[in-house]
Amino acid sequence: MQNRIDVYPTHTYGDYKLRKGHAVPFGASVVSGGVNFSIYSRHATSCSVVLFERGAEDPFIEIPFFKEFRIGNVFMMIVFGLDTENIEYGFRMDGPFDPVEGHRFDKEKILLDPYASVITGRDKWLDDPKWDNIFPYRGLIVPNDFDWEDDQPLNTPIEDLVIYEMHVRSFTKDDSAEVTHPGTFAGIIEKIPYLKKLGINCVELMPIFEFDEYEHSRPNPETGELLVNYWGYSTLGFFAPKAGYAATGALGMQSDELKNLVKELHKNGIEVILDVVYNHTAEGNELGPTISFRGIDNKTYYMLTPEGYYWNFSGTGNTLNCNNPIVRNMVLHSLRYWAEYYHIDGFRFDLASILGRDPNGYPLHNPPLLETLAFDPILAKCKLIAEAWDAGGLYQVGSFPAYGRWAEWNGKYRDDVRDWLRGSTTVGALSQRLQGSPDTYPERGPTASINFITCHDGFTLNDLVSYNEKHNFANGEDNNDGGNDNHSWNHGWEGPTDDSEINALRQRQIKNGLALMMVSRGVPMILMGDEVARTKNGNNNTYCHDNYLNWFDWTLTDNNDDMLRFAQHIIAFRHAHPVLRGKEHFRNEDYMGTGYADITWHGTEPWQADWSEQSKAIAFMLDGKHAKEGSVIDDSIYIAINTHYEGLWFGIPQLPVDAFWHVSTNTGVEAPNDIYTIGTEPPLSNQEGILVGPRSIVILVGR
Amino acid sequence: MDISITNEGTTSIARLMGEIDANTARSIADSVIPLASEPGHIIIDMSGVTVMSSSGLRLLLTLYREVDSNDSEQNIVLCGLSDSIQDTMNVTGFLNFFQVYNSVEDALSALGN
Repeated sequence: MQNRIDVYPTHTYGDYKLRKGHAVPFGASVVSGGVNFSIYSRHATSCSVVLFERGAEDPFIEIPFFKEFRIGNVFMMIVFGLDTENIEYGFRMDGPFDPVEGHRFDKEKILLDPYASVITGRDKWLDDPKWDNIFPYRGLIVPNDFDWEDDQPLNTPIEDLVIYEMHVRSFTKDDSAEVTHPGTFAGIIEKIPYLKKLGINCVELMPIFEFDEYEHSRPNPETGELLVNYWGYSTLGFFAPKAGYAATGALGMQSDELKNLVKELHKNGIEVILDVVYNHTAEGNELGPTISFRGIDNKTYYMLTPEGYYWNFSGTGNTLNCNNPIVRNMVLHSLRYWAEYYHIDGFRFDLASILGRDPNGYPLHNPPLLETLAFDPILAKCKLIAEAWDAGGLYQVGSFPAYGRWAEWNGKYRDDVRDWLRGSTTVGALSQRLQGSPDTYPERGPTASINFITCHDGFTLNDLVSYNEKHNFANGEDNNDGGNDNHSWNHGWEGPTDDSEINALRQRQIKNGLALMMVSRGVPMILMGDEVARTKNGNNNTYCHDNYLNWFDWTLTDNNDDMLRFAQHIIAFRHAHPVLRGKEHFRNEDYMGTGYADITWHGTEPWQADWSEQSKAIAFMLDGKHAKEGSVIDDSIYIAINTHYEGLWFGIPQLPVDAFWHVSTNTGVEAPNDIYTIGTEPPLSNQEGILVGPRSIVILVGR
Repeated sequence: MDISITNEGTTSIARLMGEIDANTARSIADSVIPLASEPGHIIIDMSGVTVMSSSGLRLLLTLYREVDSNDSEQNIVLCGLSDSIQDTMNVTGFLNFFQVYNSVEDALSALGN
């Protein structure tokens, strides 16, 4: 094959040979003999590439984009002869400073490339930075090739997922994890056997795009410990993985390390969903630092008020202007990049309602960005999950613009199930949540519903049943931060207690929560550590803690092994029974002609549910021959749920003549008899009924 | 980067000394890839390698692919990796492609079998 004729230098600047470059791809890419630099700015009057030797304080050259090195609003040039492994790069732009018009150019600043695929500056977590660095977050040029062998995104049907929400550093940072590289992508690999045994088949990683853990850092007023930007919901760059989460971050190999993690997880049947934060950036409002977007084209990238201030629908200072066509493309490019080059299986969008607002902040009926993402060919098999609200008053659970593709974090599931556990909601509400919320998603089906009780925001499952109030003093904000609407109940004492009855009841309630999620139609998501009853001491907003409050304590896998066994069992139970994992809503009819409708409701009497406001008991039966819309045959399953403070006798529906009810799970019984291994369930001695203990759940299989 | 190639029977031993990075990767490839067309195994002796960059990882994988694409029984193995280089190769997944030995002697006796 002949060489291209457009690969020869045409210009010189100092010692460097240059040529007009290619507009796409944006960012820095290696081409024949050199590096192509390309960046958009509509309002900049000039731009230059600023190059540093690796680790140097000052640049060794700044090369201006010649007038001819442009097309439209894109600056592009090829610089020949660069030692790409040994340079760091950025851009310097000049333009108007006229905030009312939306312009905040600052030619004193060197700007991070929005498309940088690897960022240096926070290479090791909480490493001492040079605070007077003239350019603190710099782009690197790193190969994006990787040998995936035959790895593919797993395309597990969403209704078959059990999602585990995890923070990369928290998972293995504690000494008790005993991994070679604590708090890193590599550390997670060492714990894959644990994840497999737990039975989850999908990890949702809290933000892994590069962020600055030092942002808003301050000492804890009580302990003096440094409070930091721990969770990472504050993006520096949408194409770069966090160096500080990689054992090889200091070598700039975080990209390879994360890809290897995805490859290993896939080999073990585990999908990877990324928690992505396209609703704002780390630059804050007009008082915040100019790192990238503000100095490149403020008017394009941010939603601005008529006076030139920053709309703050994220609650963090600024709002990314997602439906602007340039920004919309950046978001799309970013997602496509992770899907294609990192084999990511899906994305959960933080404060996703922002993605449906127009440049002035108004909610759009048909938001171009959401439509684009729903129909994009490269993202077509990725899971798209929305946190369907924002901090500006939009709440769209049930009404998020879905285009038949988006799922949602079902806040109603969380609140109704929490209320059920503490006896303050109706069987009617619970029954909707158990069925995949047909009241909320009548057209979209149960796969729109991510069923969760806990997540990183709010209490852990243990704390949900141990505290009535939040206890966030450790955050240094006088306990004013964090939600107040926790739907929690401490069962008689606030926090830790020696009272064995209260403790037993709390453990039972945790098991009840796990069981309800695993038997609900829809997609269950559990919080890292709930399987071992992890506590955060009642703190419901641990966003700033780099310590035991967030770190997974691996001694709990021994000390709380009964809870872990229960969690493993109930997750395995869901995987073993396709009748629990339907994709469509129940039809409430016997469309397979078995003598039983797909779902039937019962109370303490079979076939007679008590739907009254005071009812504290409900049961349902799933007919095994209606599993997966009748396409597979499963056991029948009967689930009795008693939230009364006393035990109740439940009469059970009769099975056909040749089948019998067997006991799988009974949260009202102490371990080890709370669970029976799948396939070894003992037959119920009295096939007519069963005593369900106070605040307990019993699961029977009929075969 | 110094490269010395010796033979032990039909097995070639390529001893690398210095840094493997974008600048040295090409010369290493030029010396080692021809060995893939000769009969006999290849041992890459890494005991003198001080630094390995992203390009270095990719160079080694390229060597592996050259050998692997032959239809022969030929193997390419590594020996003498420092702890830190071995660890880097492990967490980035590049180690998976290789048999690794402590020394040239160990590699020779393993390949002899």
